[in-house]
Amino acid sequence: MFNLGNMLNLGSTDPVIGKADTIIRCSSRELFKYIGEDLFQNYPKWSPEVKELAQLTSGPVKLGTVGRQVRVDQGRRSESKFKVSAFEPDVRLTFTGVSEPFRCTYELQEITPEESVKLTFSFELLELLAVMRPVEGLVRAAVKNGAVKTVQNIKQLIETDQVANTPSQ
Amino acid sequence: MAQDFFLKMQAPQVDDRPMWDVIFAVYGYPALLLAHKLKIFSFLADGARTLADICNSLNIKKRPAEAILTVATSLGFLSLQDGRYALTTISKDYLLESSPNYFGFFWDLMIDNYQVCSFQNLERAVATDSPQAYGGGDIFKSHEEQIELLHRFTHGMHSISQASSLFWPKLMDFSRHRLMLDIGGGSGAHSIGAALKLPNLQALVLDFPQVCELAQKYITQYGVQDRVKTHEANIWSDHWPSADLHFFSNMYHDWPIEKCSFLTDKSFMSLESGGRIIIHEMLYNDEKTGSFAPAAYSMMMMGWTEGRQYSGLELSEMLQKSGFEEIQVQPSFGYYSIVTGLKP
Repeated sequence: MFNLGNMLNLGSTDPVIGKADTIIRCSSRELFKYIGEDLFQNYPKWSPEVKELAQLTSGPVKLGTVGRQVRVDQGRRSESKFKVSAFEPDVRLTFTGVSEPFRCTYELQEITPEESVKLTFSFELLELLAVMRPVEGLVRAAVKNGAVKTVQNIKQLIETDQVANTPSQ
Repeated sequence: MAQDFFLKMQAPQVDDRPMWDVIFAVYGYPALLLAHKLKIFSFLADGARTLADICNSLNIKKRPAEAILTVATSLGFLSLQDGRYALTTISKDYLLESSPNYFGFFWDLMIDNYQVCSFQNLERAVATDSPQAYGGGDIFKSHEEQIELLHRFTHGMHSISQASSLFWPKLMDFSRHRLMLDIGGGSGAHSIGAALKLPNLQALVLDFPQVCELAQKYITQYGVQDRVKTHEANIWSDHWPSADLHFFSNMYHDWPIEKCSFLTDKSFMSLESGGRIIIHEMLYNDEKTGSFAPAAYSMMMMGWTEGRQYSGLELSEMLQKSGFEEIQVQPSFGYYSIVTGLKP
């Protein structure tokens, strides 16, 4: 019904979404392997809020893979299950909360073949829990900052790893 | 130079009527809004009248009256027989306040906000890619003014929803659904229509608290308060109550595709297995070559919202991406269609 919230100041009409991108010096193959295929080994590295992580379904990570994570975000502990809802090698990884209303998407766009990739990360909170509502502004800011930190961390991890693995001349 | 130009003159391949049609739309259609504002239709509710009667009773001079009445007649809103103007079926159905399908509140909304469709305003909306209606949230308006605007707005939206609300419930078998969540449901028109047509269905209108307050009045007015309730919430950040049918009318066209995807995902996650989503909109054809109504509606959305009209194909792909299955697009009432899918 049009944007009543904005037009008449009834309330926010912005979903809680944090989105950020960066360019990483690597191939999309390398990047997807790191964040997609090796998700359960590497996720806590780029997201230090993840304190416990387990794969609940067997086999390699693929569409439908289910995981469990325990996170501590700004002192608040939460446990959730998530499911891989998009798994497109070298292009996109999405995992969605099974019972918690969130979604994380990592999109890869090759800039220069084998050399650089644009990584776009978005975190969407489909609803705010009642306990979060009084601090909605802080949550929105944290989600936005979290997205920026995520891509920066991944960039640093991948590029540092590459430097470490590059034989000296 | 001029001589060269004239030497190059040649007959066009087609006549210039479409060029005139653009101009005539700009001048002609507002005549209907004027007729509505001058209360010509309600005056004719009691019977056919001559031009002189209309001029005398409504205090309009002959030249403007004839111009307006001729436009209304040419477009089928009036008939002229034996020198007397009379209402036609379309004006009886939609332009008399006593009609259950009264469209006039929406025309009032257009008249109140006519600056939104001015050339300058649309040009600004196109240049900035942002809506201009209500100044994009006027913080200087008093609370009372805001509430008055909200009332007029909700009446307007109710006006364009009543008739169509009685048609989509009959397009498919919805009998196994028990509770419909009317997301951003405004006046509750569609919940009321669905409740009247689907005897086993309960409905919940989800909207801002101030809107729910108004919806409650409509619900009571139609006598469906035992089956239609309201739920105050912000659709973007609040939890949606449990339901097995999610309904969105004139909602997706308010938002860009990312926000629509967000709503679709939220719907998919909120519904139980077997739950259904229904999106009720005017749709572009899949090739985006038309039709004119949704194309013009997109221009209207340019002035009022962040959104645009979508094609059935675009919405189907959006539903599919979120996980919905058995997706169907069905033409509904007038220019409207529904796009629907099931959560497996």
